[in-house]
Amino acid sequence: MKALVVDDSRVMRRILKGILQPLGFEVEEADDGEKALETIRSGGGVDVVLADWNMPVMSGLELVHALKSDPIHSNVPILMVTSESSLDQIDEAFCAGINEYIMKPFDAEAIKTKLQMIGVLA
Amino acid sequence: MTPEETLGNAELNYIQHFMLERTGIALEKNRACLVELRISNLLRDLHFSRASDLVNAIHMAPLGAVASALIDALTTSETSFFRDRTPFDILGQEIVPDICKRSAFPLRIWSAACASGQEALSIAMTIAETSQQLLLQTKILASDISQQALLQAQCGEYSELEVNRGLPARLLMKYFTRAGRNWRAKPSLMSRIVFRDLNLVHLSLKETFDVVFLRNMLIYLDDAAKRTVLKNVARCMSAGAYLFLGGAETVIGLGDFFETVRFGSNLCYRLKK
Repeated sequence: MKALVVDDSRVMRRILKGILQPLGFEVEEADDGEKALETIRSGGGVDVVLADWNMPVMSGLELVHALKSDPIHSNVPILMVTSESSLDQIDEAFCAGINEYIMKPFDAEAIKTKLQMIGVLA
Repeated sequence: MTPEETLGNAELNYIQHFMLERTGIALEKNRACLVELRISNLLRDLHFSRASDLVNAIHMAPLGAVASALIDALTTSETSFFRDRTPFDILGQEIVPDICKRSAFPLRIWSAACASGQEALSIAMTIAETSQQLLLQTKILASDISQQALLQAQCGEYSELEVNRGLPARLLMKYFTRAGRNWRAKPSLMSRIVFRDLNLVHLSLKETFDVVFLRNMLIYLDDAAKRTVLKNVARCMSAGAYLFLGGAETVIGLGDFFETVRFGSNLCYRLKK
């Protein structure tokens, strides 16, 4: 199973990679939404996207909109991993089409249970 | 000061004996390091310089504040919303419809070792997602032996780290409001839950329940205490009531009160008629 971690913070990408690899994921990284789209569209089968909200070039929310309007990749599950934590923002992300939302800070158990909720992990 | 310097064998033996007698909890030798660390933290919090001061205070007032603080320190455990998920699916999809067919309302559910309250709230959300009207006809008792854990449970307030653990974000939006950096459960949930300080080994409870959640508590008890707790809990269950235990727990060999009920590949227990 392949996970794509999209975050402009190298430290955050490393933390998520450290959580995902022991869960059995092969992890690819992108530091903004545009590069994430390129990775997904270049093939190779991404099984889940973990995306930050605020990033340069293309934000996480713009990435969600782009993926959901792409007929080939609209079903790729998306977990938003972000510091944004108002009810309006969570609602906005769900309206855009995310599958789950997790607020920073989080721990490995939280990531694991969220991936279970969206059916990516047993 | 290290735990080894603060806690001698005599004090450790006294604390083990006190916990076993008072709560049924058998402090395992192979977890002594964790026990010592928690006691060491407690000594610091209570401004005791030696473990013997702690032991003396408990000896003088076995039902006092220091004794409660020791129980809090040695019983507080990690938990999460919708822990192990399956019991809540079974509750919502199988058991609640079954009980609604045959029981008079209100529906009574007991979270018997509720810790900081996530299990009781998960039960309330499960019922609410089945029917808001049914939640209004549901009474949930949330009990624990740790007064510290109960205090948090009664507040219904959780950090972002805590709500991240197991709580779907859609349910967070629906049933919680912002409280500064934390999240607070809405009155629609909290008003259905009664919180009570209960010791399951020395239980005095007159009510009966249709469903009991007693998860990840028996594992800390020796066999005699497990039998006592199961017998006490069985007395508080109505005819045909259901019991959920933790994934590593069983009633086998611990009395003859319950039968196994299978739901697909999952199981729970039911009070024998």
